[in-house]
Amino acid sequence: MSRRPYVRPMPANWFMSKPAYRFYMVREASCVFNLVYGLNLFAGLWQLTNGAEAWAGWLALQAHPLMIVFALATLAMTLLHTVTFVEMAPRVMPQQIRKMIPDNTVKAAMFGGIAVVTAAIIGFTAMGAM
Amino acid sequence: MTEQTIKLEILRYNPEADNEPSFGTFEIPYNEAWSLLDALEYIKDELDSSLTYRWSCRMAVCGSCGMVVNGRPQLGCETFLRDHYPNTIKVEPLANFPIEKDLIVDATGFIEKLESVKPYIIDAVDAMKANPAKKVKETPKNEIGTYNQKPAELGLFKQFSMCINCMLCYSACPQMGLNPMFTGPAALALGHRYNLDSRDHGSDERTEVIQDKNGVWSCTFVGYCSEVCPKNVDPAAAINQNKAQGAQDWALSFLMPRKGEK
Repeated sequence: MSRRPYVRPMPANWFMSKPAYRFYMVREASCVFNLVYGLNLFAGLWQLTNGAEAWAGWLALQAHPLMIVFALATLAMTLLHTVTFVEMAPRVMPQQIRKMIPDNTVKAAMFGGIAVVTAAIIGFTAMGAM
Repeated sequence: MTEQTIKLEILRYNPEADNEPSFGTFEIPYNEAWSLLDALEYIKDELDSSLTYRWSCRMAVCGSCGMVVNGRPQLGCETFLRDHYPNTIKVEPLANFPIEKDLIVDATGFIEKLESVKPYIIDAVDAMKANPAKKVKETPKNEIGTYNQKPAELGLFKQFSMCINCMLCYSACPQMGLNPMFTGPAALALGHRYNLDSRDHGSDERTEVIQDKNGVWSCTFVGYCSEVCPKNVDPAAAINQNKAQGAQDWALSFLMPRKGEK
């Protein structure tokens, strides 16, 4: 009687097998949207240096329905990224500090900070538009 | 009235006869009070005595009866038929381990990984034996020769000491399947538990394993290990606290190459 352990292969699409894995993949993919959105912003900056016509062309492209859909998708993914990041952050803190500050205090401080920065950016943008 | 029954699909593998595992179906009487482990016992006693599985305490303490139930790693003794009735329950051995027979997996690799993190207290004397150049301040002992520990010092690591080695977290972790060399959630959490212990001076000796590419850096914080843990150890937190510590040590190594010593 000899041993003959069977090793099951890991399917290439393992991330589709469980809701927890699918959510993980969406969470991780959220940064791709931010990357593409960032590249688009840099392209806009580049066009700005190329004169008024190039800048107007870039602005016109942003008004395209597909670009608006992409912007909305990026907003949704960024919110998901933010919420999951803040939810996980207290667990990564050094245990000594984690025992001193309740998780909810850390999360509230992070959400507060994000809210202040977001309000500041929207505020500056609104002033620029006036 | 006919008796209520429930169906179980169990992944079977007989190393002496089968080339690969396949599902076997059993229909058994439905009993509201039965755990999955009770159901397996009924099958073994009444239907098929060759069914092979591990179990011991029947009360979620020993960590023997870990299995995958409808895709989720769970303890057989903590899974109840009433939570699945009238649906069929699909039972598989723990994922990411070689199947020895039926629901029994080969845990040798897991035991070796547990040993690799030196899961015991390394006191000042042992720490200086391992590295004579290092100056270690001994933790003071009390009058009967043991260590006193404050509740806060215990509280620091207690959560990470609750592990029952059931291996559910290894089954839950996709990185474990992609890289079988990964030290894994339970072992890394156990190493963290000793590093956080006020009596311990062995963190330097665990660093090589914990900060290895097969150590905490094989983890991508999927977090499913902590979700399935029956003892709320939160191994994902333990692992990722070590990543933060490792990154800090790496940055400090440029500023203080001799770690503050002359």
